[in-house]
Order: sequence, then structure tokens, then C-alpha cells
Amino acid sequence: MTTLDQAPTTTGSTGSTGTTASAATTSTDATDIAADIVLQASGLSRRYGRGKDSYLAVDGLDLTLHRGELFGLLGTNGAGKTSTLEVLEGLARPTDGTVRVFGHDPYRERRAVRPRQGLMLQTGGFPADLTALEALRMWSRTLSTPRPVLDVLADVDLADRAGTRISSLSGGELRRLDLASAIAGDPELLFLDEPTTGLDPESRARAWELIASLKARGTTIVLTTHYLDEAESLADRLAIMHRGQIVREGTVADVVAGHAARIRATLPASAPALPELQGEAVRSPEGRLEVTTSSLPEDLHTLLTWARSAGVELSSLDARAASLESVFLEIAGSTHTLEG
Amino acid sequence: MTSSPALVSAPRAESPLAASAPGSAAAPRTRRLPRLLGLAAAELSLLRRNRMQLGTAIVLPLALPFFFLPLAQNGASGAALAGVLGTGFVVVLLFVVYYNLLSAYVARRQDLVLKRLRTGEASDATVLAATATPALLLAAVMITLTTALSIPLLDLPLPENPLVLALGLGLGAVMLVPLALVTANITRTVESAQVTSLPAMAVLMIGAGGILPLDLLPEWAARLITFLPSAPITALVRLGWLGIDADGAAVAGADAWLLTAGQTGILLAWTLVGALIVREHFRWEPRG
Repeated sequence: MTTLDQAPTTTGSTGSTGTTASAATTSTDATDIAADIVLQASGLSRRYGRGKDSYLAVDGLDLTLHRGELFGLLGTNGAGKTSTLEVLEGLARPTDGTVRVFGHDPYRERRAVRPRQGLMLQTGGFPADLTALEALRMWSRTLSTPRPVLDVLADVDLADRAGTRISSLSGGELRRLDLASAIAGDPELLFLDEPTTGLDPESRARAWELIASLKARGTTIVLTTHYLDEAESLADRLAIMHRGQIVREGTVADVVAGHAARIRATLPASAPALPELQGEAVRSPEGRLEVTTSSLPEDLHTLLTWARSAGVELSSLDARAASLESVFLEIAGSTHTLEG
Repeated sequence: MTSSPALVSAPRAESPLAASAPGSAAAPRTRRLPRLLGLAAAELSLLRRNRMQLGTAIVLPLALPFFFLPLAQNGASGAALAGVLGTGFVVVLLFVVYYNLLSAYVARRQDLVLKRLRTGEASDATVLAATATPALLLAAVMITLTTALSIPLLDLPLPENPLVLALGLGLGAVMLVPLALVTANITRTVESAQVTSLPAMAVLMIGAGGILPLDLLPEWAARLITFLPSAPITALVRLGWLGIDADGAAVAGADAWLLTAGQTGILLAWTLVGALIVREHFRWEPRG
């Protein structure tokens, strides 16, 4: 599948984008880089309600997006992803801080921004009694630069469902119609809020291809998702949000760097004492072993050599490097520790 | 599976900021009418598919002259009939414009259509006006048909000043749009519109002279009623069709202009008040 073939290339280009990004944030006088900035948010906060019951959903968020990059915004439920997105999209006013999209305030100067951006909401929002084609046509007629409606339907594999009423479309088909309306205006900046939620694996792969092709032609994309593999294979850069703040940001490699790898296995209770390891080993009374280490190859080698010479059988051996998933779970897990 | 080659092979033009500066401010203005018509076309499809709504909107206006047929056969004068027909027109507008639009706006809000359209390029006013357009056009066509049918059927005089007649009905219909939107704010579902529409329907029927015999009311109450949003519709229909005022006295020349201006003013004032309330307080999303 194309997406898999592209994965190494994506990661390769990722490094350079990441460097440009950090260069831009530190040296603001570099105008050639500044001209390449599509979206810039600084000190963004969003508070719901007032007084005692108020709730800070977004807490002092800074973000810079460059032309042509695909930025993944990850986070647990309630981390503030959608609240952030709504402000970036110009659908809501921030309580504090500023957003500039193409150099404009997306909320107050929406007329300048809207024609150049595409939004994929989480909500649907088509009249139940229209057909898929009519609904997309209705939307397209409001756009400044609409693409041919049938082409857009074909892009999301809905051409054969053009004459079907919205009320008869499946959840996945509706989601694809949402995606169709997001790209119908040929946007320069595209916001995708959980674009593949509810899609079957095949449609999901197809959506990934479509997103990758949009990116290939230079569309700047902001993507939120629950699927870490989606972020991992599509995003040039990503940020993990937690409790309204960005707690990790950078390329997948940046985000994962410094996080420990893990070795798991089951030992017989009779096994002798473990050898000296670089990482930290924990043995449970039931015979489970868990090693947390930043030197995975060395420790794995030590452990395997020891097992062979001591005649210990390491069953259900599982060694894995730090991944986006393990970092994410670690961050998500900190919620429970703090709350519980 | 192939990814769309058209997309991949067309790299986007560089220098986005330079492209945005000139002309981008003028673009939305020129696109306003096509946007309105595009959305209105979708609304028309929806109206065509709503048999109940469409049926009422077509049958009720056509049936109206026949309700007055017994009166005409009983020897009621053409003038008296044209007077009550004004009240009938208000009833038609209430069903074809007010009630229809109330259900349509609530349905669009329930389906999150309003929320979606608001995220796009169309302005708030365009989105709301688009829903109203087919209903207003339908009302115009049906009332024209009703008038054309009534004149021979009920042996009515030809309208003395058709423009004043059209002004009263047209502005009256437009005035009902913000009223429907304000009512939509207190209407959760399409079904509950049956109840939430009643107060405005009752008050507007009183204003149109359809419920209370106005000449039996105390002076102050009768005066108050003339300021209800529907009263100017009947007044302008009466003036445009028969050239008379509420007391049946013939009005002509400057007096006619003055009466027209005054009644138009009342209609415009209500429309404006409604529009301001809508602008500040309209509920675009269903309650959570």
C-alpha cells in the first residue's frame, strides 16, 4: 500500500521540517521563514463558563505551522483538542492569546481566511432528505473555488452513492462525505478532526492515501486523531495535548526520544538471580519480568545470554522500543495517577 | 487502489501571502448571490420532498376563495369580501411562510446544517435567507393565484393600487421570517413547533382582524391592535385593493401615501426588531 511505502520518506523529510520549525520560533527576524508560516498561535487559552464553575480547556498554547506540513494533534479525550481546533479554525474566539492564519485573525477576519481553509467537523450536518450529491453541491455552491462535485465524490469513493439520501448513508459514508466537503473548496489549509473515526480499514487506508496526496500537492494539514498509527505514518510533526497544554511536540522521533524501551517475559519461579542490567528490572512473585531500559539492545543481549547459560526459559518474550503509543499511554496514564 | 492523480500532479502555486492581498476582499461580495441561490436550490429540493408542508402551502391558498363563496352567494358586497380576504391572506402567510419556515429552521438546526454552513464562507444572513427564499417565492406565487382566482369567483373589483397590495403582502411575508427565527429559539424539535407557533399565530390573527371584532373593542385596545405586526398587512391590502381605510372611508392622494408610509413603517419596524434579536440571540446549534 502506498501509505506504507511513503512512511520512510515522510519520516525523512520530517527531520528538516522540525528544524525549520524550531529555527522560526527562535529567530523571528528571518522573514523568508516567516512568510512560510501559515498559522501561528501564541498564548492561546480558552475558558468555558465564568467564576467558580469555569473550566480552562486550553491553557497557554503556542503553535506554528509551516506551509505544506502535516501537523498531528493528539490527546486523550477532554485534553482540549477540539477546543483548540475551534479557535484555530476561527469558529470560536480565544479567551486569551492570538491566532493568525495567513496573517489574519481567523475569527474576526473570517472573510479573508475561510475561502482558503477547509474544515472537517466531527458533526455531519447535511439535511437528511437530500442525496449525497445534492448535499455536496449545496455546500460547494457556497465556496469561492469549488472543485467539480463529482470529482470530489470520486476522491472519497462515494461516486456510486451520489443518488443516495443522506438518511440512508452509513456512518462511514457520512464521514467520507464530511471529508469531501472539507476538500471541496481546494483549501490551502485543511483541518481534519478525527477524519477516519468510524471508517472500516479499507476506507481508512483510502482516506490516508487521499490525505497523503493532498499533502503532496502542498496543502497544510492539521489532523486530530485517536489512532496513533495514523499520526505516526501521516504527520511530519505532532503535539500531544494533555489538560489543555502541549506536553510533547516535534517529530515522532523527537517525541519518542528519551523514553525508555521495555522488555517483558515470564520466568519460572526457580530461575536464579538476574544478571546485571543497564535498565531497571522488576520481578513479580508470579514470575513476570519487566525491564525498563534506555539501552534495549545491550540489555536484551545480556538477558538472552544469561537465560541460555542458566538454562532458563523466557516465555512470552516481548521487547519493544519506545513508541508513540508508549509515550502517549504514559502521558494519558499520568491523568489517572493525578486524579486517582 | 489508486490515489487521485489529478490531485498529486498539480502542485500548488507558491507565495500564498502575495496571492491573498489583492482582490480577496471583493470576492465574497460578488459570490453572495450565487451562494444564496445555491443554498436556496437545496432548500427547494427539501420543500418538494416534504409532502405535508408542500401540500398545505398549495391547497390552503387555493381553497381560500371557496371559503368565502357562501358569503358572496349570500349577497355580501365585493368591498366587504375584499376586506375579509385580507385577513385570509394573513392566515395563508402564517402557514406558508411563518409555520413552514419555523419547522424548516428547527429541522436544519437539529440536523446541524446551520452549524455546518456557519463554518463555511456564506454569511449568517445568507444562510438564513436561503432557507426563507423558496417559502417566500411559493407564497408570492400562491397569493397571486388566489387573487386571480378570487376576482372572477367572488365577483370582486380589480385592485385599485396593485403595488400597495403587493407591498403589504411582500413586506408582511418578509416580516414573518425573523418572527419564525425568534420562535425557533424556543422550539426544540419540529414537533414542538405545533405548540410554540400558537402564541404568535393567535396574536397575528387578532392583528389581522380575524378573531376579535375590532369595532366592538374599546378605543385604546383597537388602537393597540393596529400596531401588531399583522395589522398593517390587512390595512395595506384594504387600501391597495379597495382604496379605503379601516373605517371604510375612501382614501386618495396624499392621505393614501401617508397611510401607506405609516403602515409600511410599522412593518419595517417589526422586521428590524426581529432581525436585531436574531442577530444577537439566534440559536445556531441544538441545545445539548
